[in-house]
Amino acid sequence: MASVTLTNAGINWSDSQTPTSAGSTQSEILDSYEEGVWTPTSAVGTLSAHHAVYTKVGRLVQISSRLTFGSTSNSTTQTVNGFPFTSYSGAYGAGSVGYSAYTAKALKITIFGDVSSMSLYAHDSTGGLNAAALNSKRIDFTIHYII
Amino acid sequence: MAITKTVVYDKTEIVGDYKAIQCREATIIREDGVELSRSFNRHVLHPSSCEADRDSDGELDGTFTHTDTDISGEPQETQDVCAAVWTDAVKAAWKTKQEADLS
Repeated sequence: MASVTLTNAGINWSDSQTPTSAGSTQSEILDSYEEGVWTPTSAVGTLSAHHAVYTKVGRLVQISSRLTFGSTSNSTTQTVNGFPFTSYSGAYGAGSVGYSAYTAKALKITIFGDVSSMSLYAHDSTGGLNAAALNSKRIDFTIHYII
Repeated sequence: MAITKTVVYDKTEIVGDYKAIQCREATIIREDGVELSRSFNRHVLHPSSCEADRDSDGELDGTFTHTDTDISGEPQETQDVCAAVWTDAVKAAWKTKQEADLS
């Protein structure tokens, strides 16, 4: 009979997997859980943030917040920094925008590997939005990424 | 009955090829020495930040500007870790990586 075991290393699921889905022992141990808050900052200008929280389950991190960028006409690429964990080098993260006052185009969010920040793009562009485009705009979002 | 609040940096981790420093700050509430709650606030330190000029459509329109991260507000222990692992080679590799991400 398959079972889940609690070890010093974490919760071991390896005996509960079917032969076709079982991986290595290492990849079947849930070894961490944590929740807390983080402090978003902007690369350019000011930023106000509300409800900036994170939950980490194993290697998966979910963060969310409501951000409002300060007033600026700066043409430098805008990024949001201050993530609670550094992203895994071998994967990109992505986010969902629940509300955006940037109405020119749909927004997409990308988290590169080895970073603790996100870049904001218009849906049809490969270049990040500059700070002026996000001038005084509010964005509510949730992001998932691997660490 | 004494309620106390203590804030400590309880975890510092060095992560990845570019030596990101993950810092966890714990706020601990105790009553008569017995812990009632512990909450966390996290942030990550990188050697520098990078800015690139863009036009309104997001097209790259200039050169990159790198700014060393100000770690003067971090605990001395964290500053010491940064100084130890952020070698010139790590800093240079991080700058190259950031420019590639922004291009």
